[in-house]
Amino acid sequence: MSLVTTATTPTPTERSAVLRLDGIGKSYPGVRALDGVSLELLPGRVHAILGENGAGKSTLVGVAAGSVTPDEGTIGLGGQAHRSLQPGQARAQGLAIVYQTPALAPTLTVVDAVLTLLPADRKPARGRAIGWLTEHFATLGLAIDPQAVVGDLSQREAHLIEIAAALACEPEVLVLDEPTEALGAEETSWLFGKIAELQDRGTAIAYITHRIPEVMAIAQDLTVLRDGRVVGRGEVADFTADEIVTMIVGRSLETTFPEKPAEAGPPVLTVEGLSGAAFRDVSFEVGRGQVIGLAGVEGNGQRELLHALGGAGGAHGEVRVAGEAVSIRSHRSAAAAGIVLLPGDRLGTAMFGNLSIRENVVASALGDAMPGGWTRRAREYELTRSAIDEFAVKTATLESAVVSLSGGSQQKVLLARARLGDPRVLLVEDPTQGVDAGARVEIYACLRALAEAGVAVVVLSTDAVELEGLCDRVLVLSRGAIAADLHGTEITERAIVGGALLADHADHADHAAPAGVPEADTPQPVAPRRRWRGAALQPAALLALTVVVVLATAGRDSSFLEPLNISQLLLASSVLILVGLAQLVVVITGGIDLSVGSVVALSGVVVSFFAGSAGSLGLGIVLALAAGAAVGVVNGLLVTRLEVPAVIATLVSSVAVLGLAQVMRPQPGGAAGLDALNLLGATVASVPMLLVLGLIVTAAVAHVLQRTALGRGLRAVGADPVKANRMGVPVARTRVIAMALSGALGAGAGIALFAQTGIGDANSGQSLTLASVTVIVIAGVSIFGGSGSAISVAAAALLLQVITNALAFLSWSIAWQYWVQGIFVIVAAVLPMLARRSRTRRAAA
Amino acid sequence: MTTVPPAVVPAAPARRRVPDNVPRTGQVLAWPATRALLAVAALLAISPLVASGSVSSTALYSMLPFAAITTLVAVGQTLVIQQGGLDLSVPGAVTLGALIVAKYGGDQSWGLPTAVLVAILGTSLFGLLSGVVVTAFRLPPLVVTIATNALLIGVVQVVSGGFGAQADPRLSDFALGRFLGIPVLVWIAGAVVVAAQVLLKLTRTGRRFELVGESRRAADVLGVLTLGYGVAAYWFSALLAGTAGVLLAGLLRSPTLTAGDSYLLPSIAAVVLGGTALTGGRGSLVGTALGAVFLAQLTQLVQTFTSLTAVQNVVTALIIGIGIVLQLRLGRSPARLLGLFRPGRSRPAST
Repeated sequence: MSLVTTATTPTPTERSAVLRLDGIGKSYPGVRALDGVSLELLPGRVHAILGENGAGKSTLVGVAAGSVTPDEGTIGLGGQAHRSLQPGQARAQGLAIVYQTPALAPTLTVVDAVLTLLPADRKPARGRAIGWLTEHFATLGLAIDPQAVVGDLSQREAHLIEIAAALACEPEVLVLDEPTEALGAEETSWLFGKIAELQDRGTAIAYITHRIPEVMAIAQDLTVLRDGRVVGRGEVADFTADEIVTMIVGRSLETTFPEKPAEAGPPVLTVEGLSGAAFRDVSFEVGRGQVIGLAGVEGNGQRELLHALGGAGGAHGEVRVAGEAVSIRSHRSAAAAGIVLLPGDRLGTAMFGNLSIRENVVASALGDAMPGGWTRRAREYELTRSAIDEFAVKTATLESAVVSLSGGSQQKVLLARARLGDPRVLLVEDPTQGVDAGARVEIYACLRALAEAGVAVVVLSTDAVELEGLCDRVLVLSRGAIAADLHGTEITERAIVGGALLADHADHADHAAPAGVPEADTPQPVAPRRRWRGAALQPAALLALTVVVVLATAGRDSSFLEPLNISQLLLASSVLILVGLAQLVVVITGGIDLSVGSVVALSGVVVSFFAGSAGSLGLGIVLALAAGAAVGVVNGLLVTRLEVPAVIATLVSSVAVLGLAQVMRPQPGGAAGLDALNLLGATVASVPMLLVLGLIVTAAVAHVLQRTALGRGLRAVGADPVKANRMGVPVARTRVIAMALSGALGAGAGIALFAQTGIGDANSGQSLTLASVTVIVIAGVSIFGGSGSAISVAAAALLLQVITNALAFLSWSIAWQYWVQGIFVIVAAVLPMLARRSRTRRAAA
Repeated sequence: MTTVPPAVVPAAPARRRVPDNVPRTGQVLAWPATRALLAVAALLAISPLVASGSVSSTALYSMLPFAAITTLVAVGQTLVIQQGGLDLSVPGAVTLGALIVAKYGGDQSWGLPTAVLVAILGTSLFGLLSGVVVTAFRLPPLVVTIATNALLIGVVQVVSGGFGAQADPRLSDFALGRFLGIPVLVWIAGAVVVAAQVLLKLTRTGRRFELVGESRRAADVLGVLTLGYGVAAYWFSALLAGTAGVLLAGLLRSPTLTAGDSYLLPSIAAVVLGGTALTGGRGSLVGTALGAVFLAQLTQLVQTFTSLTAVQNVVTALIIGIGIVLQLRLGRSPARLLGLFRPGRSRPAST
């Protein structure tokens, strides 16, 4: 692999820093992530930020990019000093960042994602954005369809998109956080070429990595972090590679890693011909006393292999523990066979975060801790101490919640738990991710001690130095197969990284290059017409279903089609359309609004005070809409400022708002004047004007959701609030806007309901909360947030209204109105899950 | 150019023995139930100042049965919330339990015992449905239980034919009765709370229930069979809501079609006020019961001010909202509460 080296660069004194971090400090529960760190980036120079996992590199660049709020220190960017930044602000000031894990909300299309990332002055007009992006990708040599959905792309493609977007910004400062982890050799040299071009244009580049050769190749300055402090800085040219490694590790490798045994004993774990969705035909064995490492470029099946061995399912092949065949069909069967998995996602899948050290440690030995099924606190403390005593765990008491411990102490608690469960095989993913240097030594010693005690230890790590120091054998995976099998002295950082990259390179030559590889591929965007058809399919199907129901009902009783009934039906469906849209704008952000029904009631009551004549009606409508929006704003502030869950905030306001409506109109009253009623009930070519208005609102909401920055923000927040924030979307403000919109739309529904009934009734709207949820679920809106179509919501509202009307017309029991909704919701929610499951199953087979 | 020399490996310091737990007073103060108890005590202390007679024995006797019913519903809600869910089908379940027993409890119909059994077990089937759909398909509990509530209301419509019914007098006598001077409903609710608390805190099953609730994926990886715990929580919730409905029918004599509606918000509010985290995991049923008492007394107090239900709703909702915000903010760091009592130690020790 050839690395692009840079030409002449200006000396530091020539220009002043474009990014200046000064005395940055940041603490998380139990850990001081950054402590008085300062950093200066100079124009036209690449500044490498180095350190082990958990040294604070990503936190530091997060501070610069605005996704992490520092506790102390200042950020100098764009000629101003800031106490903290918002990601959008940082981007507007000319800072572009490529995160270690791409921060692209998964439900956005590629073009939407790129548009969100660009600062306002770089954005092309929405109408020609697709053409612009196709062109931009073409000049970069990327074959990515701008209209693909981000979630359908590979991690590598997402990475390339982020890089492409960063380049399009023509930034003053470019931050690259381990950009080559997910890239192959050719993509890496392509990226280095781009970096050189940016340097010539005077961009300052921060480059985070733990690959020393890359630093030597492209960087001029370096800063080394260890445990949140700067331990070294200077010009790269003044150091040798070995000196840099010593600065990073802080001690010689010999004192960090325990001694390796001379030779392996009989096999403890034997894997033969294991295949799964992401890996194929993997065979290896772990001898007594051995520690085996798994490596590879991210996304080549090594993680899936480790999890499959731990019982994640979907793998077939033979696994033997101490000669006996065991089942790894489920975590339960793997656990029964003595296989213990420590997932790398500590907070999500490994520990019980809010529970105590005691509860976490004894979780693997509940039978032993609670003889006879009854708890005994003293026994639990005894077991916890026996497992944890040889580790230095910094904690106040054994009852402290593990989430409040430092990363190193958390990992020690997990190791203690694993050891207490008396495992025969221990699978550890990223054992030192976010772990400080001191704790590493203890963790390595513990893993080695377990291996010597006869446990087969398998370690997956992204840190090649760690694998070199710890393992007796390292398997490097590429595209799901073992590409290199390194033993003894063959295990070097260079061999591990090289093995992964070389294998990747060789594969490129054999296989047709997949999308996203910067080779001479021509992009093949899907024809726009087919996409349009895909989007239109759902509403069309709902409308067809509606027609079927209409015809079936008319077949039983032809008076169903009489103009009066139809016009009543259409008027009523405008109410459902509006409540559906109200729920849609909140659910798309990942929330829920249970106050819709009460807002409808309030708005109807407000309008009823002004409906005596057509003249005052306008004022009433304005006040009703304002009241609805106000309720929404209150909900939004409760959710964002006071961090009350949406369901509880809207439930409380639902009760309060209903009470308010009841106070204003204890009894139904305020009948509408004739002229007001005529105005509200006006028809356009025998279609109720309100329905026309409802459809116009639908089109407007559809436009906002699909074609505006606000809509992109709403979808991004719903898909992944953390990533949305990193993309520069103001998450809290977007949520408040969604709630306010929902309130206004709900108020609109209240006005439409008033037009139907002609009387202000505080108790009229309650069933509409359920109806609003039914409508969006039928419309196929993702109930997890992130996507949904306003057009489908309108079609679903029409369908639900037709069904409700038909049931009443055929004089079915009123119970059916509820049952239809309940069944619809459950079936419509379960079906996509079943479909997704069968898809993943097919993929695994 | 500056280079900080690599740090010398520090010799392992003589290790201090980590204590099992903080001193007992600290433990008691850190319990979420303590906060709820303080809130109840404060409310009872304020009540006579605001409205004389609001803590008289008459007032307490009229408040306690409703507190007991809220407790029953809220215990079920606690279990569901411990599993990271939320049960919005409480109103339907309470109403259905009440109407089945009122409609069919007479001797000329099924007879009281059969009707009570059907009311409780029949209603609980819907909890089983929610539990299976939520747990097996990992669907959002809000959407699923809203749907289950619709199904329940549908059954309510069929059972009632659209009208309320008169409960059997024997049921009313039972629900209004006292044993050793304390309302029977309080005994029932107390027994349920104690039994559930013992199950949760003193047994292996209870520990597994809390582990699964805290992190289902972590429990999965450990080899715990996680499916059953979620289903059981929803089943218990509907069972207890049905039971509450039966007792409510006795208390009200003639339950209406919306009898259960006013129990949804209190059931959730009692859980939050009782200090159980909405994210699931560890829960306190004693705290929930105290939260229910707080809400019942609050309602009582508001009622002495105005007879208008609408105004009562607004005021109660506002106070509940404030209470929830306070408990959520304090609950996030118990140290903050400790700090209220021991100034100067309000910050959690940074390690």
